[in-house]
Amino acid sequence: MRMIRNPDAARDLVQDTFIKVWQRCASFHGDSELLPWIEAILRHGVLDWLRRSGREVPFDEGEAMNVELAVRVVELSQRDIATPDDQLRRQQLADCFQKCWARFEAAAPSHAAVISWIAADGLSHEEIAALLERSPGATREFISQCRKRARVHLAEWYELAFGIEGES
Amino acid sequence: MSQDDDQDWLDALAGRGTAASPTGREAEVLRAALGDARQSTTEVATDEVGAARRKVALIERAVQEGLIERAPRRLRRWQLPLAASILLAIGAGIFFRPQVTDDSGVVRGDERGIVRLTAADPARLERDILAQLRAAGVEATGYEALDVHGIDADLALPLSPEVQRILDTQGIPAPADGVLRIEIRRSE
Repeated sequence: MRMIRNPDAARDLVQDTFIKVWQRCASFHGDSELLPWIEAILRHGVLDWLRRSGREVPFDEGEAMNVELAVRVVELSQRDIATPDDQLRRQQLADCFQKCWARFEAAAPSHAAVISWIAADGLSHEEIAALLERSPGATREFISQCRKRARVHLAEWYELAFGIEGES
Repeated sequence: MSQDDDQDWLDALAGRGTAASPTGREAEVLRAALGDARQSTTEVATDEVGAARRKVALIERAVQEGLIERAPRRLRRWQLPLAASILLAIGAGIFFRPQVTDDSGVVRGDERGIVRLTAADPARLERDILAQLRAAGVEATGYEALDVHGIDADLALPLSPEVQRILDTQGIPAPADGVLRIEIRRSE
């Protein structure tokens, strides 16, 4: 529901998923677990909906991808992963992430959705290709785009996350 | 960004292996933040009315898609005892209905609004009903033609409790317009 940002549309998607599961259950041969199979159907529906809703903002690399920003993220990434020990800093970091992620979801919902699914379920390259219904080469390009876009939209949070360790 | 970098990033984001490169670390910290964000996501409040409506919509859609057949309407849990109670009440009403005469019967359904009764002694039943109606203040007329005894009366609406009791006792339905027409024939 968070990805869709429209409770009614999200519920409709869940209904569509139930109907599709029903229609396709004869084709489920147990090659995979049932729940991931159902989740894959739901994710197809989510991606279709995101494409249809036309919320995706075209990514102009020259304009949006600030080279300095990219270099800064790479530099920061070389530091140890920060683990803020006090509650206030943790909350500050979490709030910043939520804000940046919301911006990312608003600008590039499909990319944000795929990133969150990779992190949640450890999707492989092949699984992502199947989900996107793209060739391996096109999937590699999509993943690369995901990474670039995440860097741009999450730059403020990266700075804060790695900066905490840098300051200590 | 090389393809290797992208693969490192993907593997680290998916939690496969240990991130050694800066790219992998970047993805690893993103993965941790996403995990924290998922845990802190508050649940959407359950809207029971909406849920029930969606359930109906889902079933309707499944019917339209030809996945299920529309099931015959089943009685709800409370409907069965209610139906049984109504049947019992009707049965008891019929079984315990008081009878002034032991040989009278009622035939309803005349399109002209005539209530048809049968009795072993039609003249006696006519006299009994006329006497009771008149005692209740109703102007009622009795007649006899071709072995059929009849009663005509104009009842004041709403019916008085006494008139209602007389009609109930004889099993005569109350006329909606107040015009009471009864024909009594000899029972076979």
